[in-house]
Amino acid sequence: MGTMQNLAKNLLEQYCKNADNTAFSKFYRLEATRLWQFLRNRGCNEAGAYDLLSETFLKFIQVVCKDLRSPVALLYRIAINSHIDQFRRDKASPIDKIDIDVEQQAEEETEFQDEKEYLQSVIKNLPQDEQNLLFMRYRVGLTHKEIASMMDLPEGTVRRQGASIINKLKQQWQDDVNDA
Amino acid sequence: MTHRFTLPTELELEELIIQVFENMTSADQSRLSVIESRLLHKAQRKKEINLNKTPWWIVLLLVGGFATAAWWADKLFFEEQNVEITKDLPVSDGNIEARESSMNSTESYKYESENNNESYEDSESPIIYQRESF
Repeated sequence: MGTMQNLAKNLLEQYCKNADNTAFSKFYRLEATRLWQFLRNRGCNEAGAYDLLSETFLKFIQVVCKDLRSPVALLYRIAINSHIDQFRRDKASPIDKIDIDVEQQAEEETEFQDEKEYLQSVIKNLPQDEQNLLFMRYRVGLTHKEIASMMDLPEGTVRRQGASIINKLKQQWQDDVNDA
Repeated sequence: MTHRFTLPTELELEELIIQVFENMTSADQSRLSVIESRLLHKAQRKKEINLNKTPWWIVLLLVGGFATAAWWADKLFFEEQNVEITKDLPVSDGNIEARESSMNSTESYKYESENNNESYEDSESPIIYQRESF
């Protein structure tokens, strides 16, 4: 994962220093799918996630060359801020909320056949901040330090939160086994 | 929510989390490509704008600098030249015309007024008296 971060950083250095659009294109292909998944995970609908992805990259182009220390963290920070802005603009649709409620109810009655399927449903029920942290850590591969800088939190806090989420998941796992 | 799975270790759980995120629905590559081309177009335009802007600032700065330098150089050069000519030329009847022609308009105006008074004294000249040769 660390190598991926270095690759992303090198590509952006090439883009900023030599105005190399091919390097930016490679960076985009490296990050776009994950960013789209992240936005979907935050509750964006499919079309909305594409729009937000485009908006995020547009803003990213304008600022990335000013500070190349942790560009991927910057990208996700812009995405989170853009999503919050969009949420404030549009407000949540009540129809979507009903859908989610029905979905959650359906999940509660399910007995899971696969560990991944079960864990996915547990992660879905975590608060948004905790889901973000897990995504950043295990999907994007950011370090605690990078996540801390992205979320404007001390590194120790992020470490503690990470450990706490893992413990929470384990506890939930244990509780659900006992229920069976 | 119920299941029959054994509790994983921390490492196993982390591995499972990675797999859960990797198994998420992927984006449509054709839509991502459309966004990519739009982004590259914007990035290209931004670069062009920057390239167009920068030389104008430099050119403006250079032209301004050269103009100021030329103006100062011109002023200093002619002032020095006039002083030298004034000092070198002997104050004689035959040379007055040559002296007048080599001076700038201010100086020549001064000498014209002196001619009118039939006085050929140069106030800045160290020569206070010289016999005129006919």
